[in-house]
Amino acid sequence: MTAVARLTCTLLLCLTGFVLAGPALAIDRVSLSIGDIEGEGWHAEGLDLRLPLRGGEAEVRVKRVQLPGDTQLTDLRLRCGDLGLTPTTLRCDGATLSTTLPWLGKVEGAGELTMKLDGSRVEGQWQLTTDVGTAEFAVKSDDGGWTVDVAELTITEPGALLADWLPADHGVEGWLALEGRLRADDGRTRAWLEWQSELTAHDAEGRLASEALALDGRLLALRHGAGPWALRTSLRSDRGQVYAEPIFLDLDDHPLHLTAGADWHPETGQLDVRQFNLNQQGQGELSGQALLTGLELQTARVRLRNGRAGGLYSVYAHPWLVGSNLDQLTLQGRLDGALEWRDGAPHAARLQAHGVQLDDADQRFALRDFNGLVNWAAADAEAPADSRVQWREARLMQLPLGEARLGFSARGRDVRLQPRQVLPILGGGLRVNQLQVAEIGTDDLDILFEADILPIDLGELTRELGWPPLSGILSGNLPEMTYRDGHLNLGGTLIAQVFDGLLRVDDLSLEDPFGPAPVFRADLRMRSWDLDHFTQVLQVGRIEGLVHADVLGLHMIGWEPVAFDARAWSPERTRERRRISQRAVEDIAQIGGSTPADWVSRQFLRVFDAFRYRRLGMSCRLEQGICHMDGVAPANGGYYLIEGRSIPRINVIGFAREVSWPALRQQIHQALQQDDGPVVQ
Amino acid sequence: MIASPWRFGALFSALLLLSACVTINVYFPTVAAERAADRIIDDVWGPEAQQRSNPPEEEGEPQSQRLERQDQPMAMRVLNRVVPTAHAQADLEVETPRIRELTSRMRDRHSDLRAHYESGAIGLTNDGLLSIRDQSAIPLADRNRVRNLVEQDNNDRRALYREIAEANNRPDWEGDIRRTFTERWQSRLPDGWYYQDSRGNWRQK
Repeated sequence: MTAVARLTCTLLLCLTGFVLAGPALAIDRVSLSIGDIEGEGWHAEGLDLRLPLRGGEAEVRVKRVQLPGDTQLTDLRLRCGDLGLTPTTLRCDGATLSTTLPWLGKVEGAGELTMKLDGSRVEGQWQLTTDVGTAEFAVKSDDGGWTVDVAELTITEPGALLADWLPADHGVEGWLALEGRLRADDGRTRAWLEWQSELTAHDAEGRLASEALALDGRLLALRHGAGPWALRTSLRSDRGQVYAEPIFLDLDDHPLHLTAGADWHPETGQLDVRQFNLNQQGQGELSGQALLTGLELQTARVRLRNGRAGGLYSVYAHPWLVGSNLDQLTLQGRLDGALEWRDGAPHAARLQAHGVQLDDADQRFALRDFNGLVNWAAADAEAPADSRVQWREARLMQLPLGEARLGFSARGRDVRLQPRQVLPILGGGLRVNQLQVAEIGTDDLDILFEADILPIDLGELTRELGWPPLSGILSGNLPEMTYRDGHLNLGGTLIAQVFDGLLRVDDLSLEDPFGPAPVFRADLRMRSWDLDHFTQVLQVGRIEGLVHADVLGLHMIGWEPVAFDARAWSPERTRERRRISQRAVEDIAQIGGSTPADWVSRQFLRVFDAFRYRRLGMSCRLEQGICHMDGVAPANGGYYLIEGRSIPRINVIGFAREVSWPALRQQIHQALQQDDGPVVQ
Repeated sequence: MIASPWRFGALFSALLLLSACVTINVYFPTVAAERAADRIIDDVWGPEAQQRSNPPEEEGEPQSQRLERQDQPMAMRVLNRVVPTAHAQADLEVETPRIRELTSRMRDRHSDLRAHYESGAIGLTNDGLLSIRDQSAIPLADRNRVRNLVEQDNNDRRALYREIAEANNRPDWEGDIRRTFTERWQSRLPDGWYYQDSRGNWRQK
């Protein structure tokens, strides 16, 4: 206690107690009532002292003590069971203490204190009990320095303890048990702390929360004079759950252990993490250096070793990908990587994949034995080294891709594939002349793609895709395919050889390809398709001959046609054999909405297997759910769908001009479904 | 009556003025929009939605239209009796593939969201969307999933209001459609679920 205490106002000295001892009147005890007393930075009111003159019980009572930092003790009562006072020392045995602190509530304590009156030595031990926990500590001070030993500090109401510091609507429950030592000597301050805790906490919005999170740790700290604190810490957590939006971590499944060495500069608030090592079960090992100011990361060099692709995806990547096309992946394999962070932003990164296997629950994509090294640098950094990846097998929307090696560069938000690299697909492939992806991760995503199609067998391709099997070869080129503002456009013409004829696709566009209902537009032109191949594939009876067809203005929403102008017809002036089977006649008649109803027609059809025809065709202009139908030529108030030739001659004539599209689609579907030939009714 | 040419001129001018004021007003079809909203709510929420409390079966004029008419000058009102104002109260088009797809996704998502409506974790906002109102009612492991479900549902809800307006060739009706949906979602909200009143305060149905 400083001697600068200045008595103010009323120093009311009252000798209020006299004790008669023996026959003589002797003063054995003094009671003093001192109104207010004030020192540098502190202030006490209502001070009462009861002091023995020759040892024994002593008591100090203070109504209110105002300490620096707005701390206020009320109803302070310090009692010594036995106060020993010599000219040089003061000893207080069997001491008790009680007071009320705003953030601790009622504090009760018991202990002892010995001190030399010149202040050269102080020694004491105390046990304190408060509303928020208990503490047992010892204080020792001598010429060499001072020490505070905390043998056991238990906090059972951390929320109450931190109430004054926590922002509104934040909460903490749980417990903390701590022991440690703080020692100052020879111009050094040293501390060690060890603690176990279990905390359930949340912020106001519930974006940061923990549930029974076990957090055990140890901290060693050393400071020379007023220099920085040198810290070494070890933190371990193996129970409980944490949610830091959007990441959820179950420590029971993925316990973690962090060790770190850092320098803390209290005056600047800067934390220089010289080395840290974070090991998380099932995830991998992260190590490196970092510099933080407050909670803001300034610079860092971080290395990932033995990263488990599956664990890292499910815990750290998946939360960001929920709702995207990448949210149902299963990954296996190992990842190593490095990240350099400068001036508060990522500067460069490297990721190396070893034997990664990737599968999608919806089977949209898959990778087998994916290996590679990806180098990335920020837009304003030096150009990174080229990246190379390879896989043994891959699958994209059921499209199988063969073994490939690709080189590309990744910088800022842009990725560029090196030109003329081949993506093998079913014996053929795509030779990619240009692939540039810009503004990744923004709404301005821009993709430019240009490739030659190396001949791909259409039969194999359609079988893999689960489409009606086509025959022929798909080749040609994709002159300039762009994805911009949510629209996919084909700049030129796609030409494929299909069914010994040609398929030409113009003006292809796809809006909102990943949205709920993509909008597809294209003009399709088919020339000289061999109907024999075509009908064999579709299994709708057999037609020999050639056919031309146009599907112009095709407009589909959610892959459902809403408009088109389609026409199929037999080409003029070709001399190929034109025959149609009895079943195909039935099918076309059914699609045209007519069936040969009379007995004569049915018998006639059954007698012959096939008929020769002069021409056939059909057109449908779809508008507002109505198909406006027509055939190859007018006929008796209707139109020819099949115009026969020679004997036995058969004509199929349609009369319906306007057919509901859903009904027509149903008829086509039924015609394609019939396995055993049509049932003539 | 020397002034008769003037009177004729004045009458002619008045008629000209009146005829110049004849416009064809296509009012927002509130009743049809309510019916459309109810159909979609039935689809998304299924039988747990409250029964339609005030089935707007009869083709009454929407209130906004009545108010608007009272504000019109007498001459316009007379004229409207002679030449009825053109307004369409036919059903709104809600049967496009895109609207069907959006509705179907919302229905599928609703089975995941139901428990969180019931716990009070989420509620309906006063602008026809969903919002998380009490994160603490959601277990930590589910918080991100629920947050994403709410975000996806809101994207689909915004798209739904826009699509209905566009399917009816009236993109300018989007705001009215959203307001109508807000009112219908709230009035058909099952008991115990939460909604935001016009001042943004949460209330339990």
